[in-house]
Amino acid sequence: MNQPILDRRGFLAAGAAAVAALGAGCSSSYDVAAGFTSQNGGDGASTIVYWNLLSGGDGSHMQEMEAGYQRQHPEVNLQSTILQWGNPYYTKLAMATRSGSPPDVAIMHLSRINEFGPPGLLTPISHELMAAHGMRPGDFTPQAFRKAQYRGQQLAIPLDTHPFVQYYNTEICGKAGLLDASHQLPPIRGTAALLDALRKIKRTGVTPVVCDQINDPATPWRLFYTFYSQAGGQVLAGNGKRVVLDRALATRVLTFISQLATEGLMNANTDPAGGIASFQAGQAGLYWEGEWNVDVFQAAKLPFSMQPFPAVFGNGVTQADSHTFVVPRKPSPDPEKLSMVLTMIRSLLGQSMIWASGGHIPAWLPTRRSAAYRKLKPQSNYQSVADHVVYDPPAWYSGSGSDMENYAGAAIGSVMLGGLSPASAYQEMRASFEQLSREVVPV
Amino acid sequence: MAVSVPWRRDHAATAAGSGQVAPRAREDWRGRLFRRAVTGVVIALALVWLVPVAWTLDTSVKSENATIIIPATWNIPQFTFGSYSAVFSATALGRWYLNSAIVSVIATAATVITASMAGYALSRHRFRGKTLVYGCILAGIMIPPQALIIPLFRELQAVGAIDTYWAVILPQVPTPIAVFIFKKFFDGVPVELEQAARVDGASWWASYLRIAFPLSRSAVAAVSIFTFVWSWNNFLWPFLSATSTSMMTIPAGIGTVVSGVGIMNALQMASAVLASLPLVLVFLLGQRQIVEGVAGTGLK
Amino acid sequence: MTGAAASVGQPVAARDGRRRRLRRGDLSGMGFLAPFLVFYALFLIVPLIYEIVMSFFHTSLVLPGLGGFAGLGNYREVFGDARFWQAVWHTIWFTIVSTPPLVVLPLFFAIVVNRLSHGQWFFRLAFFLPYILPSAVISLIWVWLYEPGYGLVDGALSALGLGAPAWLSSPDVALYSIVIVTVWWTIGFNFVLYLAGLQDIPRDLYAAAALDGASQWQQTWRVTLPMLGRTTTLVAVLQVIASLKLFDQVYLMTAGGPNYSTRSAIEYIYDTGFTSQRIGYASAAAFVLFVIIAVVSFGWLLIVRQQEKGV
Repeated sequence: MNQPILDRRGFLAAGAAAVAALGAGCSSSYDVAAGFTSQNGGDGASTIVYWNLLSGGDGSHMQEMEAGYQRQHPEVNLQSTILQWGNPYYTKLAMATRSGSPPDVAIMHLSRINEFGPPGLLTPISHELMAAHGMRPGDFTPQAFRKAQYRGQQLAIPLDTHPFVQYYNTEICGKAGLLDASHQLPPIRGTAALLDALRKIKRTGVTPVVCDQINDPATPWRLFYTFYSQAGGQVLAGNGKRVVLDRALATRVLTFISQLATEGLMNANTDPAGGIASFQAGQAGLYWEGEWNVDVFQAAKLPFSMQPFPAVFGNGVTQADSHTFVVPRKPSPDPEKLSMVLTMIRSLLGQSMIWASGGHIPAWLPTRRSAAYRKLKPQSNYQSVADHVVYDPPAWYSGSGSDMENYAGAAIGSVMLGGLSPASAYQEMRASFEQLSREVVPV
Repeated sequence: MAVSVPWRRDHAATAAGSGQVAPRAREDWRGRLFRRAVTGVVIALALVWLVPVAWTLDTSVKSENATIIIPATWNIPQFTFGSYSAVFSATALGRWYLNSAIVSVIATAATVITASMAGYALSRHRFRGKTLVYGCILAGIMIPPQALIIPLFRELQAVGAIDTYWAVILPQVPTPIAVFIFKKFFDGVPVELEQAARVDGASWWASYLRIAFPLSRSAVAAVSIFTFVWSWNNFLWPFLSATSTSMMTIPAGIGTVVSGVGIMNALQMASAVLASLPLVLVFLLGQRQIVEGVAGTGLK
Repeated sequence: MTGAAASVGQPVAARDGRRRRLRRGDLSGMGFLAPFLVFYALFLIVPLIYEIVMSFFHTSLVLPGLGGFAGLGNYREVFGDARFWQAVWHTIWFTIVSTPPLVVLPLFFAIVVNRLSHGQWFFRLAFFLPYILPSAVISLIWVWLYEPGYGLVDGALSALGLGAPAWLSSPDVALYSIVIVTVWWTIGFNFVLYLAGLQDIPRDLYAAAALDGASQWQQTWRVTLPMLGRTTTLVAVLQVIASLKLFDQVYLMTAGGPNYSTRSAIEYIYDTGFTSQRIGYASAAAFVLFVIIAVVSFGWLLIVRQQEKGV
């Protein structure tokens, strides 16, 4: 080992690799010099850079819609990029926007507008401009559309509403004697009715309901927040400055969740993939989750249907969120690019049937009201929910995949396993929220 | 450094090549058996070490459907390079190659030049404050750059450099350990040659450029290799400072974009292979040089 | 580090009492140093000072300027924040668990491989190849290997009739799964350090031991291991310092989850600084971590110098 440590061969090898790498890059049409001199180097006028966080079934539906748009507009170079879901996505989007090189258009959860709107990271889109591109305010599900406004400005264009729903296995529920004459599960109202239904399913020998919580803090949060909101509870006030989580109400809800666990009515000891697998294998009568797994079960030819989440604690509201399109703010506004982007959004909205097939309730009313969508079963069974959903409480630290969901989900998840007492879980949630709310507002 | 640095071994008088074997003592059959058993264990473990790489290659040439079979199988029902071309259409991998090459080459060159000059000054020059400067540089070895991501980001944001090559490259340049290595190297090189040149009227610059720097080839190589590998593979800083996908290096792009693609296993493994390819090729060609370069310098 | 020690004791022009006027050497010396020092100041010293300053303010990632003065508020919050200490503990626990295999296994490999008369390239390839792969690639590969059901690891275990834990989705297991990945990934570096150390052991020592009738095993025990003491210390300390900077593979494989059970100290800084945008607070946390790492690194310096003196 005692020769000069880099001989000629080594140099040649390194050089060859560098040349190969350069060659690979130069064959693409990007402008390298721009990377040294300015930001956001290399995006031409005919390019739309589009970021989203849609993977799995959502991802392939979106790709199909993008392809549809590209067929109409082959002159546009649509660069669609899928980034990692949750906090990593929103952190990256915020940093890119703040440093002046955001994508031209991005998907954003409606519940995240509270983080991006106040510091002015989003380009407001006037209703006139929208109308000029074929989108009127009346064309959208009103609740989602209004929620996409901040201080009177439209910051986002909703694509859907995606609520927490109840999947049910028709064979198992039939065996349990829960179905009506038309082979449907009648709406379940109240805690007693829910417990009764779950116990009947249990007698058939399968898990009554599967609701995952491992590696997925969002699902426990959705379950809790649905129940808690049905009982009329509020979590935060003053845009997140104050925590108003009600001890009695929260404890009541958590106690009910804990009862589901201790009575063996709910299997929560699973991760998202495990939850899907269990329901798909016919090992559970009910499945509580967002509606986005519908095409998995359809593909598996499972005898199942879907319905709005039961009104267990009073009114029938359900936790939901919406995917929306946003235009991150750029250092210098580009009206032509904005117009291109709005044309693209309109084109994607026009293909809402594809999106709806994945389970999401289209925000685009022309689709949502169409006969074709009404015939789309079981996806349209729960479409009425979109008009009375609850979004996560507004705060700079809340929303899909946020720290707030993560912290609360951890505590609720332990209750779902029967491991943590409702009182302690309440304390834990309260402490987390208090800590988040005390942090000096960074926006 | 406690570890022997390779270029010092250049001058050492040890004989023979890499396959040096210690003199064998008398061995009875038990000793032989034991030695063979131990060797067998290490060979087996080395094979185990290659399994993830082999599995990556295996998955990358399957169709997506063939990757979701329980239990996992090495069988490739349908051999396809489809995922490899899919990577290029689904991501900006071509651009990331280019970005990584630009960033690593410039960062390496700048590191070698600045550190070599500094090491030369600290070894050859006598000037006021030298001890202090050297002490400060040595103390810098202990500064973990990972703990400075926030002020660095803000500093570069303030001058509008975030999402340019400059933001990705410049903070990777100051490498105190490289100065230390160059100083140690120059300390070990006799000064007579340079003194003669200086007597003949050569400037400091000329004697550095014409005599000292060419002599330091092995130190240059070690520092270059290490810096290049480190820069090429660096994740955290490019991940933060390249905010648009077209400015990302390979690790940042793979970590940000490909991990978001979801359940496309063959595509992800194909992108893993493509991302590793340049360095792996260099490694296979110059294995010993890279191993020694990294071993001699790997303190960052 | 002997070089450092020697130069500290060197007489330097300014120190021998006689005030000299600026010589040409001063200028050209600083001229040679200047390029490095500019980078050094701009990208290590200034950020460090900036970080310390920000740690006393409510600085926000979003807003220009330092924000309101916080006094010691950020530090009080850091020291009282269970989530920070949880993240620090994950980093320390990761270090404690991963260091022994990363010190002992490559030592064993190196001793065995060093005795082989041919085929060393194969072991360098097998053990060192993972080390030159970027962390992002490592993470992709291992998430796929660990994939529940479809993954190779589960497949192999079920072929052996064993059940598999939820590698990355159980809070009790995930950190250990990451330790396994890290051992696989970085063992090659320590392996080559040991190989280099082995090459430096004088052959005469073995010859002498052999003359004394020492068996191979005894030679390893009496000659090789003691002579590798310095290398082992170096490997161990480098390992500890590298582990304290844990971020990439955790962020990329679990993003700190499930339920924050793998979040490392650096990721905590990233989360509070870039996700929650509280860079004043994150700077305070970063500075605390910085001090911890600096103290450990300084300990390394002392140990190495002690050893250099001792040998």
